[in-house]
Formats: sequence, structure tokens, C-alpha cells
Amino acid sequence: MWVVWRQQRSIVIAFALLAVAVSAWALIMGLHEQSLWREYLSAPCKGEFGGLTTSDAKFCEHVQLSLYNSGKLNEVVIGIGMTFAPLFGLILGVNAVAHEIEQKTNRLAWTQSGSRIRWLMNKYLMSVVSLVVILVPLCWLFSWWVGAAHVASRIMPKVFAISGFIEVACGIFCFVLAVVVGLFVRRPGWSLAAAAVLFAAIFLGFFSSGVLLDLESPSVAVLHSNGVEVGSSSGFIVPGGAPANSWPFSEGFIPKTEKGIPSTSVLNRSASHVYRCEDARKDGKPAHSDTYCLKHLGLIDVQWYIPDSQYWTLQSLEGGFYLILAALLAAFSLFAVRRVKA
Amino acid sequence: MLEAVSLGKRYRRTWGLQDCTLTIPKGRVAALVGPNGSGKSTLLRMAAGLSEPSAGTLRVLGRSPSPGTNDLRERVGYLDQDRPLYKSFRVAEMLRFGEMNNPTWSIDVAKNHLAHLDIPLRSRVSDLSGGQQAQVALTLCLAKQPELLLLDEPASALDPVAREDLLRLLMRQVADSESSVVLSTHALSDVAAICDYVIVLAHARVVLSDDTEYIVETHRILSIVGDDDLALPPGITVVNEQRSARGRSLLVRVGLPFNDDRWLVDRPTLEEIVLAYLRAGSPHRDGRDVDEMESGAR
Repeated sequence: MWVVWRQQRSIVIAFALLAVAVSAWALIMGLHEQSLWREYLSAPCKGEFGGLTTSDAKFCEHVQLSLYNSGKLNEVVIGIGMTFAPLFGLILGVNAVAHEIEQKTNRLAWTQSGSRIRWLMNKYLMSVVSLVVILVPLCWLFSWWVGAAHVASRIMPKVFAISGFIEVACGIFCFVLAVVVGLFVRRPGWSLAAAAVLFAAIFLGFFSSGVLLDLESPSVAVLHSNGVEVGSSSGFIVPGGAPANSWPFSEGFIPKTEKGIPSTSVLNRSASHVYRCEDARKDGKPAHSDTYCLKHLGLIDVQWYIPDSQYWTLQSLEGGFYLILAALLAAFSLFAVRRVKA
Repeated sequence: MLEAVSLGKRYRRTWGLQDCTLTIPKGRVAALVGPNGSGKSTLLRMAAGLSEPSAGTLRVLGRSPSPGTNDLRERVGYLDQDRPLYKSFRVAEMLRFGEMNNPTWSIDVAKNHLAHLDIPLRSRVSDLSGGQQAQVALTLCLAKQPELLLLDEPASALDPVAREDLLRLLMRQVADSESSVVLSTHALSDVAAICDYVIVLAHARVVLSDDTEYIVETHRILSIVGDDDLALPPGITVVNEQRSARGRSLLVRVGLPFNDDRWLVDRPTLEEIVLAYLRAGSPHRDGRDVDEMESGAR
């Protein structure tokens, strides 16, 4: 274990320092945005401008402008949050195996008394400890920042991956992936590139395929024609009928008797019926209202969403996916390392 | 100590070592000699358990070396020809690495060796010269106190003084610990100086393998002036033949005492014998190869 730490300590220390810098920045930004939101949501602004006196409106406009300016950097924090753990895992993994094979120090290690499996196990243990020690506090801070900066509801895809423990799982997965790729590619640069491409493909594939939506049955909320927006307790506004802090991922017109999420063609057909109904009397006469058309066509306007209560379930599903994949790859690498040429 | 039967190692389409059959007895300092690509490193890597044979069998200290044989790795020390070391480590940390990974490690052996060579323990490996790095790598092998040392060109990066120190150290190591050594080398003078067993490899095959003394005793240089067609007596194998305007000169292997007054007989040095076998195995040689010579002699 000491040897692995000695080999990796410069990388671990560099990422620890980077994590401290990112944490300090996120903390300062979070506190600043939290205070701005508190001002914006409390009297006199109360999250709106209408009905305010001139001086109050000026103050609220200033608060809103400050929020807007602070918000511009939110995307940078999200970007750092999304890339930090995978990059840390990939670099650690490439250094653990591909770099050693390139330097041929694996020949030195593999001709000592310990077995190759023990050599690789030590690398796994030390690296996973390093990843967990650095990433867990960082994830905790990002989770707090997501709420403080009101970037989005924590269950929304935009920030879901940087809150909770998914980043820790991603970091561990990337480490194991880089180890396995390094065993076969044997060159650090190429291993890093190949592992990064593979991870990006898996991450984006998982993200865009809607696997989580298939695993979790979404809730349905009926939207009302008066279009009331429901404000969350944290001040994050969810339009329509979905409850506060939820993730509304789809909306459409469906027959009253419909159960579940209909196909896109059914939704498109219903929508075209509603729009035709609304346009029917525009030739000089008042148009039909939404309410009239929906009632006339026997449809309801609904929104599908994942409630905030499912946050930890989804975290477990996505985090578990990466951890199980990492465990399978690690098991394969322990089998393969005995057969890899020195 | 090391026994190979029809041993072969294939790298994609080419053979790194082919049909290698040899036995190196215990307690010897054996030299593997041959040109680049002849299979010396391949044989040593297989013996160290770093790669597995494609054909035949190999037994080292009575066991088949493989990545799974942990107890064999404890008994075998291996020095790679690239002398890999963790470049960012200090010398003392390299010794700690050896100590943590080997139950039979002797820190005294390591420190004494490095002190004798004036290599400071505080120095970073990357700051050492090539020769010093080679000495640190060799120290790791020696301090492990193995029963068998496998050294792939151990002296190639050393200056003449360090080279002689290394050879002396190896001889002392064998004498003190009764361990065996198999080393590959291009320096034939080293072979004559410290090795008591020689294996000559050419084109991935063993062309000579025997005791140094026996090899010297069973080879002769035969010279004759003029008479080109004079036949050799039976039981003689021609290893290498050189012709000139004045006559012929043959390096031969003799099975029986040679008593033919028509030939001028001389005792070759070990270097001359090894060179003759290497020339015989070379594709660009002037003479004919051993088999052709044998049939020609008959």
C-alpha cells in the first residue's frame, strides 16, 4: 500500500488541492447566491416585481441582476463538478497501470515475492480510498451548492450527477476503466484517451437513453388551464402541475381514460386536435378556449414528473450502475493481469 | 536448477525462442551468449515467470514458473535489461520497496553494497547516472538473497571499473550464498572471467550448452597448409572453417583424443569457441553451418 501511495501521492495531492480550491469557490458562490435568493424571495420582492413601490422595484431589480450575474458562473461550477471526479479517476487509473507498464516497472514489481493480483489489489484499495476521501466532501459541498444557488431542483438531470454520491461512483468507475484499458493499451496517453471516450459514451448513453425513467414509474399531474405556477419552498419555480422540486420531463394532451405515458404519435395527434379546435373560430370571432377544446375533445393536459422523494432511489440506481460496472471490470482485471505480457 | 525441454516462445508470427533444450546445474554461474534477438531475454523472462512458454516445458528450481507461483518468485531474483526503477523514488525508498515485498530481504546487504559504491540513500533515482541506476537495480536483486539470480545484461551500462566490481560481487555472492546465476551478456571476456557454464544461442535456438572447462577441452583449432582435400578423421564436428590462399583453419569439436600429425593442433580460448559458434549460426557467415560441416566431414 505504501508503494502505491508513494507512486500516486503527487496526483492525489494535486487533486486534493484542486478540490479545496473548487470547494472554496463553490462555498463562497453558494453563500453569496443563497443570500441573494433570500433577499429576492422575502419582502419586499417576494420573487416578483408587480405591485412594488418604485424604490422597492429598483432594489428588487438590483437583486435580480445580481442573481443573473452570479448565475452566469453556475454553468462553470456544474462543468467542474461533472468533470472533476471522472478526470481524477482516469488519471489515477492510467498512472496505476499504463504508466507502470510503459516505464517497465511492472517487471520489477511482478518479480518480487507478491503476486500480480496483490499488486493490483493494492492499487485498487489505495486509489479507492483516495477517491472516496477527496470526492465525498466535494459531493457533499456540491449537493449543498445546488440548493443554495437555486440552479435547478436537485433531481433535475442538469445537476443530478453532481449532487448525491454519483460523482464518487463515477470516479471509482473511471479509475477501474482506466486500469483495464491500460492493461491492454499499455500507453498512458492512448489509455487516457480511450478510457475517456468509453466513459463519455457510457455516461451520455445512460443519460440520454432514459434508463432511469424506465426503471422508475413517473407520477402524473393534471395541468389546469389557468396556468398557475407552483412555487417551491426553496423558491425554485416548477411551472404547471408538478410539485415543488420535482423533475417534470414531459407534457401533453391525453384522453381522460388513458393510463401511463402514450406514444409520441398519440400525443402529437391529440395536440393537433387541440390546436385545430383552438384555431377553428379565429376568423373574426373569439377563439375557443383551452378549457372548451379539452372538454369538447375529452382530453386532459398532463405533465409527467419524477417527484423529489425519488431522489435517493435514482441516486442509488445510477450510482449502483457505475459501482456494479466497476466491480465487474475490477474482477475481470484481476483475472486478466495474470495473463498480460510483461 | 534450470531445465528446459523443447522450450519455445512465439511472438505473433516469429519465434523468440525455439526448440530450446538445456539443463543448467545448481550452483553455477551460467552465461547466455548470443546476438541481439537470439532469445536470451526471452528465456530469462520465462524463467522469471514474466511470460509463459508457447511450447515445451521449463522448470526453475523444480517448479514451473508462472505468474501464479509466488513461492518461486521469493527464490528467484530477476534483473531486467532495462533496469526498471521508480524514477521519482529516493534510493532509500527503493530499498523500502524491496524490503516490503520480499520476506528474505537483507537491508544490510543492500546498504553495504550501496555504501561500497558511494551511492547515497537520499539521492533520487532519476538523479543517478545510468551505471548507478544499474547498481541500485542489481542491489535490489542481491538483497533479496535469492537461490537463483537471473540477470539480463547486468554489466552493459557500466564503466570498466564498475563492471569489474560487479563481476567480483557476483562471484562473491555465489561463493557466500551458494546461489546460482544465469546472466546474459555480449561481453565474452566476462564469460571467460566468471562463468563456469555457457549457453550459446543463435537464431532463437541453442547451439552450444555445456561446462566452460568441458567446452574448452573438447574444442581444437586445426590448421593445415596447402592440402585442401585432406579428410578429417571420424568423430569430429566442424564448427567453423576459414580458408585462405595458404590453407585451411578449422575450429572443431572432438570426441576422442586427436592424433593426426598432418594437422597443426591448437587449443582455442573460450572466446574463440563462442565466436565460432556465433559465426556458424549467423545468416551472413562466410563458412558453412554446423550440420552441413558435419555431413561434409563424413
